[in-house]
Formats: sequence, structure tokens, C-alpha cells
Amino acid sequence: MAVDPLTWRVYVGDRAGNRLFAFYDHLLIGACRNIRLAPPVTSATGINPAGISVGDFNNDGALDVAVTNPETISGLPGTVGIHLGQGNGHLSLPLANQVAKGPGAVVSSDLNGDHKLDLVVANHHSGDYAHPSNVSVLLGNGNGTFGPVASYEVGYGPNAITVGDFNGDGRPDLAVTNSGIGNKVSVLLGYGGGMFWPAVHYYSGTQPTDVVTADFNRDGKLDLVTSNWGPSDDNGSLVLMPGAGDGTFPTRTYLGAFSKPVRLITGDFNRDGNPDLAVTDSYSNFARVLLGRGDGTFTEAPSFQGSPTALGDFNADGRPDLAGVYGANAALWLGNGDGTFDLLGPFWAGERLGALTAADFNADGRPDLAVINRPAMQDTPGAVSVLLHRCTQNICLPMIIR
Amino acid sequence: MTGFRTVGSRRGPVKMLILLLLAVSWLPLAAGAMAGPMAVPDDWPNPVEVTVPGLQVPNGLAVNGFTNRLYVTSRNDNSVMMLNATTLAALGKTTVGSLPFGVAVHSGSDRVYVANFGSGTLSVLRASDLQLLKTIDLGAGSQPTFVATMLGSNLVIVVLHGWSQFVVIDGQTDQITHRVAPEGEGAWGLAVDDQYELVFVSFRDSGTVRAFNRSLGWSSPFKGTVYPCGPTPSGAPFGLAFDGATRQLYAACAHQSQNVDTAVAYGVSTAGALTEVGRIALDPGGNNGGGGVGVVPFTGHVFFTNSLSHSVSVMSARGWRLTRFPLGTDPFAWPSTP
Repeated sequence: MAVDPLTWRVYVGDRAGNRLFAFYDHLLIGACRNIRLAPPVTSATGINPAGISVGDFNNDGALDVAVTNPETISGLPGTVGIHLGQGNGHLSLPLANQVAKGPGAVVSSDLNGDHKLDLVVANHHSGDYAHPSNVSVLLGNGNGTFGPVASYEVGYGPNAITVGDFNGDGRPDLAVTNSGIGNKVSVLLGYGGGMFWPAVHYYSGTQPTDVVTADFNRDGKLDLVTSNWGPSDDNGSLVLMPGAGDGTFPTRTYLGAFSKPVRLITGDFNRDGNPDLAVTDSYSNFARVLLGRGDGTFTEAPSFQGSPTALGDFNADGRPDLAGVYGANAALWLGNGDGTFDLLGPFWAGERLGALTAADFNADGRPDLAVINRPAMQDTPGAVSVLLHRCTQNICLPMIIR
Repeated sequence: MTGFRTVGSRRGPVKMLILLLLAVSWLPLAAGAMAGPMAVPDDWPNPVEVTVPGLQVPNGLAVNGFTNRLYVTSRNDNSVMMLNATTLAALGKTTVGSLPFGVAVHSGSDRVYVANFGSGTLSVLRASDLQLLKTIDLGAGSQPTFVATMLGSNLVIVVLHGWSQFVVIDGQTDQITHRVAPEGEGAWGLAVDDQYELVFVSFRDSGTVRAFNRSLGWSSPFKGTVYPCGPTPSGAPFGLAFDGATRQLYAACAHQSQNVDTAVAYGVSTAGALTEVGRIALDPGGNNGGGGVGVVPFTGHVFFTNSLSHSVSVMSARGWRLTRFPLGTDPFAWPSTP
């Protein structure tokens, strides 16, 4: 048996028949011609749900969900709640972990290399005029619980986090955008054991709203791209911060004006090997697609209506697709492999959609959606809805014995 | 890629390819980033099945995605074949040693290595045209099985089943630099972690899988030895595969039936400590043979060849959901008849 990681082809020799077989891994489960999302499976979550992240926090093979819940007016503290997945789209009631004020964005990653997922939470309201805000790091115990919270100072008003190895030492590092005073992008380099050095701050633009990382200029070093809301009299911008490879981001490149850009996604949409970007212009509610040239510059592909927030190959054709919010519903945008996307949907996903992500909750090889349903009233519980992928017409499923 | 043909020009292209591979390997490190496969021709059947004229019992396979070349050992006529990796059309064939078993290709140095089980030798060939460059004597009766290359350090690792050891060969000089003979009997399967220079070897007869760390002088680190298949003699590990993206090691296990029936996954620390993260029956009915293991890093799908049930099993690294599909009549690797 041989595997080509470049093409995802697998080769097998048949000794009895003197034959060779070759197959594409990602086509095994069958490209799907007719996708539907099942009606939402809704689970109760905590108060004022904000951010969402998915991972197998108890190592049982079924994906779980972490949801952040900011503090309430009545004095309940900010938390991140863990919903354990049942492997069928159903989630347990949350087990809350107290963090700081205003937990919003949350990401999961194995920060200390123990093969147990950890969490990083951006506490948007944790600072005041005398003290900057912080992020909370919760190291996972591998059973759905987490150790004591460690806090790391960032800028004011952290609102987005990305994880990557910015200095090439094999340890995960963090980049955090802060939309408050100073408009900082805070970079925290890991020094092992899930701990981080004090943040180093960079300026990327006014009121950064999101950050993603990839090697946009193909120099072997991770770079950052931030979306910046911009001052009240301006439209906002996208800025590339090329990584120097040592964990620093000394320069910034303006990628153009946008209409109050918010959510960023990166992936290789046109499969040319160069990372691309999709960003939602919140004023127009259109997603703009920037195709990377591989040198840190981009060309713009046709935009489309909606707000994509997640990446996945929903029709298993090897071309990246997007998922997100379209009006009051969820939607998919199926990639054509050239940087253009076709809308599929909308799909009912419950009321008042918030953060949305994609992951394979029932382990059928096809990504599903998880979305937060915000409560109708402040300081009341919300919900998390899982929409399972339903493929009603496979292309090559008959070769599979399940 | 033609510049790789001469030994003297290897270093430049090697460095370039290493950088390219590292660039590819960066992508999964970046949260939210997604690597993708190359474009799939619309008319490409899945799977492609080809009966290759002149191929007599394909034992080992290796592929170089950069040059789109597939290398296959042909056991019964003591040769190795080169094929177009897309069409599976034969492009060349060269005689090597007796009972060629495993094969590996170094994508940076234009070298193909063939482990000859019967003659106890390692054939070194030029990857572009299969010209035999050198035959390295590993020892009569050493019974080399699997061979692997480490791209960054340009090392070649060969498992010697007959001597229950593995050897480390400098890819630049083709000299054996280390013979590692740890405790363990019946060395068989092989996987390597190129990034942290770890070697994993399964010892079939003593039931162990061991990690060896180059920075520790090729000794096993703390918690670097496991018994994945239970106590011997009933439990025996065979094929191994390592996924650098998830840092998981996969082993195919045989139990009392002496046929592989279980897959086991271990998390691997950068030092080589092994922590079991899961196991699953490859087929509830057992008695399915097999033992070949391969993993596609970006999808995390792990493949096991089931020679007796004429199928390939697919395991999700995350979900442990198993899929099995028919493929041929003896998809290797059943180890009793090398």
C-alpha cells in the first residue's frame, strides 16, 4: 500500500491477481449530487450564547461543542460551556467553566501536545481603563473537563483568535484581535505546556474584527490577515501581516477597502495551492472572495450574498465549499473549484442565528452544521442546533460496504 | 525534476523539495486552513484497476507525487517496476535482489530503495530511470522487510526481520551508520516521523511496537514501548503508519487467529512517547488477514488491507467510523509469505 499525500491517492497491490488499484481518498465516500440538511436537532445551552467551537473534548470519538456565555446583568459570571456530543447530532446539557467578563470567540486546539483538546476564550469585556483585557486558556483533561483557567493579557476588547505555529518551534501560538483602545493584534508565543509568553502587540488597522492565518506569500512562514471595521467615517479594510518566521509580524500590507468587513475564512478555494480569503462585508451583507496569487497579493472573484463562516467539502467533490448565514437561515455555497460559489439553501436552522460552524457530528464522513440560536430576551438561555448532512444521491456510494 | 538525475546536483533540489513539502505541511497547522487534493480528472474512475503485464506478485508500493511515478516490487521475478501514477501504465522494470519486498522513494534525491527479503540486500536505484546504482549488503539471513526514507535528514531506514533490528543508512553516502538491535523479536512493520526524526518498528513475535528517537542515539524514549495487541504469543503487531498532521501512529494487530483483526491508534509525543487513543475491530468476524496500513494526512483516513477478505478497511482518525470496500483478491500485506 502507498499513499500520495499530494493527491490523496491510495495505491494497493493485489498479489493474487497481479493487479494494481488506485483510488482517491476523498472520493471514497462518494461525491454527493443532492445535499439536504436535516431539520435542526436543538439542545439547550447557557445564557446569552456567543461563540462556538467544536472538538472531541472527552476523546470518545464523537464531536463535542464549546459555547461561550457572557456574564449577565444579574451577576452570573461569564462561562464557556461544554456540550458532549452523542455521535448523532444530540448534545448534552452544558458543563460550565467560569472564565472572565464577556467571553465571545472560542477556539479549540491541543496547546500542550498531550492529545487532549484545550480551549482559548477571548474575554471581550474583561479589561477596564486601567487594565487591558485577557484571554483564558483552559487545558483539557481529555474527559470533557478542564483544568484551572490561566489568563493572559492582550489588548482591549479581544474578539477573535487564531492558532498557528508562528515561530516554527512546534508549539502552538496565538494571535488575537482587539477592537478596543489601541486596535491591537496581540501575538502570544507558546513556550510549551500550554503556556504562553506575554503578548507582543501589532497595529493592523482600526477596530480589527477577525483574524486568520495561513502562508499567504508562500515563504514557508505563517502570515496573518485581519479584517478591520475601520473608523466611523471610513469603510474598513483587510490587512496582511506577513510573518517573519520568528513569531514577529513587522510589516503590514493593505489589501483594499471593504464595507465594514467582519468574518474571515481562508482556504484554497480554486485549488491552485495558494490560500484564498472570503470576507463578509457587513454593510452590504455580501461575501467577497479574494484569490491568493501566492505572493501575498490577491485577485477578486465574484462576490455573493450571505455571510459564510465555515469551510467544508459538503458535496465531497474535492472542492472547498462554504457554510454560513443567509438572511435568517443557514446556507451552503458549493465551490466550483475556481473561486466561484453557488448558493444551496437556505435551510431552516432555528430562530435568531448566531455563530455557525461545520463539523462531522455523526461521523459519516460528511460535514454537518452547528449554529447558535440566540435567546429572544437578554439574559435568558439560548440553544445550539445541529443540522445533519443528508446526501440523497451519491455518485460512487455503491462500492462501499458499510 | 530532471535536474535530480545527477548525484552532484542533489542538494539544491533536495532543499527546494523539502521547503515545498514543509510548505504543504504548514497548511493543517493553521487553524481554519484547508489543504485540498489536486484536481481530479472528470473521467477518472474510482478506483482505477489495472492488470500490469509482467508484474508478478506486487508486494511493496511507493509513490512520488512530485514526479507522478509509482514504484512496485514484483516479488516472483525479483524486479521493481516504475509506472505512471495516474494511469498505472508501466514505464520501466529493473532486476533487483531476491524476493523484493518493501520499496521507498526519496522525493528529493531521485533515489528508490528496494529491500530484498531473500538476498538480504538493499537495492539503490535512480528513480527517474530505475538504473541500479548500488547494492548494499545488509547481511545474509537478515530478511529486510520494509524500508522508509526520512526526507529532511536524508536517512534510509530498513527493518531486518531475520535479525530483529533496523539499520540506518546515510542517503548521501549509502553507508550504514547505525544498527539498532533493541529488545524485541520478529521486527516487521516500519513507520517514520520525519519532523522529529522518530522511527517506529513493530516486533511481531514479542508483541511490541517501539519508538526510537534519533536525538537519543536511536534509543527508545520513556513510554516509547507498547503492547498494542495484548500479551504474546496471541497478540502480534504488523503494519504501521504514522500521520504527522495528527501525530498519531496506527498499528494493525493480529490476535489468536493469527490474522489481523484490530486497528490501534497511538498519540505520539515529539520525543516518541506513545499513548493509546483508541482501537477498533477491523472486521467483527475476524479471520481477515491483512496488515498493510496507510494514512492520508489531510483527511485523517486510515486504510488497512484485508488480504483474506479481499477488501480494504477505512477508518476515520477522529470518528473511528469504519468503512470497508471490496478490492482485489489478495490486497497485501499478509506477512507469512514474504
